[in-house]
Amino acid sequence: MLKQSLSLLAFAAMVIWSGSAFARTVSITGAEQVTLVEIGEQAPEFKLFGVDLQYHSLSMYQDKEAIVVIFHCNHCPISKRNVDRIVALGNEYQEKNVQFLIINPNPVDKVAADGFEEMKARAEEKDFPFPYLYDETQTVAFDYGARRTDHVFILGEADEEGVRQVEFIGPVDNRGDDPIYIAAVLDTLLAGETIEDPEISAFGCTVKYRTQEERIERFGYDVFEDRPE
Amino acid sequence: MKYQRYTMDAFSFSVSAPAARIPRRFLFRGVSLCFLGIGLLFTGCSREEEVMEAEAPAPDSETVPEITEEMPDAAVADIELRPVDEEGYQEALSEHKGEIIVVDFWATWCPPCVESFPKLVEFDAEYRDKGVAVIGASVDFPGTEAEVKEFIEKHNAEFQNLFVEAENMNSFISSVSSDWGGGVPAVFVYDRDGELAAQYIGSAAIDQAKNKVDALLN
Repeated sequence: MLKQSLSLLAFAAMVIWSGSAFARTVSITGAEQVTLVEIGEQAPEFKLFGVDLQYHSLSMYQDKEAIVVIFHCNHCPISKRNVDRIVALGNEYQEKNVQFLIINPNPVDKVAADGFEEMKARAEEKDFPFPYLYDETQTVAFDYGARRTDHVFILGEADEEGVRQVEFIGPVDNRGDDPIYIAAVLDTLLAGETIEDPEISAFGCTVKYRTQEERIERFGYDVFEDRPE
Repeated sequence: MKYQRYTMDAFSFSVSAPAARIPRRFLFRGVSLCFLGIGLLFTGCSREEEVMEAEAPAPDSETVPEITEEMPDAAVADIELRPVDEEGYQEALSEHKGEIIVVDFWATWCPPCVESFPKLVEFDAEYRDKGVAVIGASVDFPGTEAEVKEFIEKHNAEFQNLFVEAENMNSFISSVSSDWGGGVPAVFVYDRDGELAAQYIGSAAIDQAKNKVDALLN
């Protein structure tokens, strides 16, 4: 509760100081409106198929102290640059009761190199110690408001109802240099402290969202609007 | 290789006047310059050095460098890639007040940016006489300026080029626009008063910006 209030206070202070918060809603080629989740907001649940041929959802990892969701893909040079670091961080922090979930937001019809078979090959090649999930409908990317690869969302501890909050949104590191934001934020969370800068922007490849027309063509309806119960 | 011939011819020309009238120091200077030249001149240098010391042929039309239309190599040295931080970016914008400004944030590591770069070059050629200033702003990794310049030169870009050097990306990105998550390609259109009129993010950005500029011009 205290941590939540402090996070909200920090965010409010940042809003006031900066004059305007990061715009939560932007338009990216394809997706007319992409709205970023708020810090402190409930992390959107999902159920995605992984290269291990299993489904994965947040609720499967109730006991983890933190979950690191990274929108990451095969083709983007930023992702390629980060992948070894992400694997190293995964290996290090999954020993500390943290779970990494890597989500590819680019479907094969938008980026051939980001298809499922290619994802499998990448995961094997790099010996991924975590699930690599295929966001085929892009609804998860949309729900989080992912705008680029790599885009990191760190979720805090689950409460009694299994609800987790978004505690950090940003890049893996500072353009290949320190600070390594994922490590810094996880250390802070695991120590029960407040994150100083919960939101950090960075340059990256845009997420290749389908247009509404493309979604309807592929699925028969707009998957962003009509959600299964 | 064209560059090498051109340069070497210039050096040969400068030392090929009768030896008696040229002070030794010029010969030595020519040789030193040769060694100071870029790596690609190196092999040529040693050959030429031998020739210069052994004989000093009279100047003739063959040693005078021919000025042809294809002299691209001077252009590489001419590519100005201005490093900018937050302040520098705003300064660059203010230099074009009175014009409509189109800034394209791109990177050599960004495939759609690379694909659409020729479009930006075309856009510039078409609109530069209509009071529109096109600016390319690379967000390539620090230390890759040479590759970026090479890319720009290869595409014959004649517009202004910036190189984002922000210690604090967060601050830079939000100073450009609070509506930008840092994804590229990203194109920002400013009106004649320097106010941000529109922003387009993603692969269709340049096309969308063009429509906006047309609207602003009418």
